[in-house]
Amino acid sequence: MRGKTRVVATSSEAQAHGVTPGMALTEAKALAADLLPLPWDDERIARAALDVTTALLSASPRVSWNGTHGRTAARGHGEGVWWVDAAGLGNEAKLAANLVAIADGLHFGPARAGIADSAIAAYAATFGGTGARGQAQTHRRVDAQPHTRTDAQPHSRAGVQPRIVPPGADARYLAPFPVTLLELDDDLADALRGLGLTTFGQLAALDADEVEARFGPEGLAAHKLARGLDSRGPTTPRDDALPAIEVEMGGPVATAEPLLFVLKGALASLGEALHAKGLAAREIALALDLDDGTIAVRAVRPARPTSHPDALFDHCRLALEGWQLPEPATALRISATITVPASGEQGDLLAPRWADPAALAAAFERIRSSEGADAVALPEVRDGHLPADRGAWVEETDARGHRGTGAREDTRPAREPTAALRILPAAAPLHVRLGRSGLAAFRHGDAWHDVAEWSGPERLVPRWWRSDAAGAAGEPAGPRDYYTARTADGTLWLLRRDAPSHEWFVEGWWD
Amino acid sequence: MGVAALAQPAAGGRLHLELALPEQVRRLVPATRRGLAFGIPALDTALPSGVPRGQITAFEAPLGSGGTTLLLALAETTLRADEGVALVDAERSLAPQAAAHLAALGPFWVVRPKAHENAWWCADILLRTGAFGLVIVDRVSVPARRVAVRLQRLAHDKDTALVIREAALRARTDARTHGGTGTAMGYGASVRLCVGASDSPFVPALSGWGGAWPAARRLRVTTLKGGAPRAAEVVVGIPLPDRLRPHWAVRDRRAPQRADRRPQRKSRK
Repeated sequence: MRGKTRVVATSSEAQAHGVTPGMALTEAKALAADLLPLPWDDERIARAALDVTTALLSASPRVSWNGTHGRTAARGHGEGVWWVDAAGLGNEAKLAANLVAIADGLHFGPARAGIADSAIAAYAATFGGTGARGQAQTHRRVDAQPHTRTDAQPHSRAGVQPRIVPPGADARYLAPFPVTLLELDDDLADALRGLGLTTFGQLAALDADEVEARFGPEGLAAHKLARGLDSRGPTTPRDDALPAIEVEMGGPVATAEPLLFVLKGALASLGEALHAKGLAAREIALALDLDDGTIAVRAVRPARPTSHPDALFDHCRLALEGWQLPEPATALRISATITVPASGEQGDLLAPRWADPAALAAAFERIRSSEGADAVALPEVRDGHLPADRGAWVEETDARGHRGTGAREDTRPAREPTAALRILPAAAPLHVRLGRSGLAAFRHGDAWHDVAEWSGPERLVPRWWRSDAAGAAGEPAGPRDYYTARTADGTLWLLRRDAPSHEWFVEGWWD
Repeated sequence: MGVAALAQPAAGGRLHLELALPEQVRRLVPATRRGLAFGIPALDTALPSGVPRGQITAFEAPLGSGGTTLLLALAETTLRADEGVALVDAERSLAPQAAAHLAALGPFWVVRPKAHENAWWCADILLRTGAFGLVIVDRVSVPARRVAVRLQRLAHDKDTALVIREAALRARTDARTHGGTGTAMGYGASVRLCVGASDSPFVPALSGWGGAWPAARRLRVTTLKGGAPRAAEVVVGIPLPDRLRPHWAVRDRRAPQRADRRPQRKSRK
C-alpha cells in the first residue's frame, strides 16, 4: 500500500479474492473483508530486494532489480521483477527452473520465469503460454542467444512453467497479450480502450508517428514495448548512487561566511559517504538554490581525487569565495559527480606510527589547492649546462609517507658536506662597479656589497644547439659569462653578465 | 622471523640475558631515543642530545653562511635513520640539484609556498600528518607567538622535530627592540643554534687567469640555547665547476696568468 488509498502490491491470497495492484483500498476491502493493509516500506522492500538479488547472482553474473529502473512505461512491474542475463549460460530451461527454485527458496511466494529477447516479452512469458487472458501460445525450445533475458517474479502465482520465447519472435509472441500488461496511466488506457486497441498486436500495428502525434511520448513508449522493443535489461549489480548532501540555509544568505560554515559540515558528511563506498571524488558539483528560484552550479575539480573533507573544503572555499551570486542563496547542495576508487595501503602492524598515505596525499592536496600545483615537489638532477638547468622540481603524485622510529643506525662513514646552491626564481638585475682588479662591488637590493675576491668568467651559451636559442622564461639569447664572487661578509655569490647587453644579474648564492 | 633468547654466564656468575629481536619487533620495544643528528662528527659532539623531537629548534644562519648545507645534512641523516623529512622552502630558492640526492634516500618532500607567510600554514599541514620525523621551515620570517605555540603543540603531539631557520636576523632584532615577541626565545624554541662562516680565500684550482676558486669554508656553529654553550667548526666544501676541473685527456691551453694583466680594461684610443 503506497499513500493512503491505493494498493501497490498484493499477496497471492489477496489476488485470489480479486484484489489487484492499483485498486483503491476501499474497493479492495469490499472484495476481501479480512484484508490486512500494510503501509509501503521502501527500506523493507529494498532489503528484501537485496536478498533476492544476492540469491539470484548465484545463477547469473548480471542481475538487476526492476525497482532500480524506476517506474517507466511498464509501471507496476516494479518491485517484484528481476532481470537476469541468460546469455551464454547454456540450457535456458534449466536456468529458468533454477531461478524459480532459488526465488521460491526465499519464501516470498511462488515465482515465475520467462525467457525472451526483450524484457517486456520475458515479463509476458512469465505468465506462461496461456497469456494473460488465456490465449494459448506454443513455443519450441531454443538455445541461449545474446541479449536473452529472464524475468523472475517471486510474488506471483505458482504452477506456471517457464516459457522460452524464440529469438526474434518477441513481437509475435506479445501480439495476443492485453495492453493492460503495460500498466499505462489511466488517460492513455482509457483512450486505447475507447479506440478498441486492447492487445499488443493491435497497438503494434499502428504507425509509430501517428501514435506519437496522438498519444505523445508515453504512447510512443507503449508502442515500442508492444513491438517488443525494450531498452531495459540486467546490469551488473552495484550501488550507483553517488553521495550527495543538501542543506537548507533557513533563509536567504547573501554572504559567503554562513555558506562556508555549512559547507564544512556538508563536506565532512560527503567525505564519510565517499570513504564508506571506498571512493575518492574527482569532481564535485557545488549547487546553490537562489532566492529567485534558479540554481547556480559550479564544478570543483581537485588536482587529484580525494575524499578528505579538508582538502575538498579548500577547493570549495576557493570556488565559493570567488563566486558572484546574483541572488542570495537559500540552500546548498554538494554531490560527487565523478568518482574513482580510492587507493589504499595496508598499514604496518608492527610500525607503531605508520603514517596513512591517504592522509598524507590529502595534506599535499590541500597545499596544492592553496599554493599551486607545483607547491609540493621532489628535486631531480637534470643534464643541463646552465646552473639553473642542472636540476628541476618535479611534481609527484604518489604520496609516500613513512615514519619509523629513528632506531636504524647509519653505518656509512661521515663525509664532508658540500655547500648547497640557492638560485633565485628569476635572476635579479645588478649594478656593478668595476675596479682595477675587475669586480669591485655590486648593488643587490638596497645595499652595496664589496667584492673581496672573484672567479670567472665561465662563458655559457644557452641552448646553442637550437636555432631559436633562448634562455628560460624568455630570457635573452646569447653568451653568458658566469662569475663567482665573495663579498666582504663571506657570502659566495653566483653572478652573471649577459654578453650582448652587458647587463649584470645575480643568479643565486652558496649557502 | 623467530625470536631467540641467548643466555650465557657473565662475569660474577650471573646470567646475562640478551634478546635477538627482529627489526620490526625491535621497533615496539621502547628505547631511549636521542634527537636527530647532523651526521657531522664535530657538530654532533657539540650537540650531544641532537636536534630534539617534539620541539622547535631555531636555526640562526644568515644568508650565505652555510645554513642550508647544515640543514640538508640533518635531513640526510634523518632519512638514513628511516624517517620522513619535509622541507618548506619559503623563499623558493633552493636549487633542486642541491637536494636531489635526498629524494633517493627516502620520503623527502619539498614544499614551496607562493609567499613567505604561507610557510607556517604549510608547516602546520605537514606536522598534522604525523608522517615526518623532521620538518624544516627554511628562510622564513619570525613566527607570531600564537603560530609558534600551535606549531610547538603539533610538533609535541606528533613527536616531530621542527627546525625553523629565520630569513632575516634583523627582523628578530627589530622585534626584540620594539617589544615584539618574535624572538627565538619568544617563540618557544628549546634549542637555538647560530651559524657563522669564516672567509674562504680563493686558491688556484687551475693555472691561468680566472682559475682560482674558493677553498673549503669553515662554519662555526654555536649552541646558544638548549645545553651548555659549545661551539663546533664544520668544514664545507665548495663544488668545483666543470670549467676548472682538469681532464686527463684535455690539455689546458690557457696561457699562464701574468701578474701585470688587468681584466676588464678597455683600451683607449
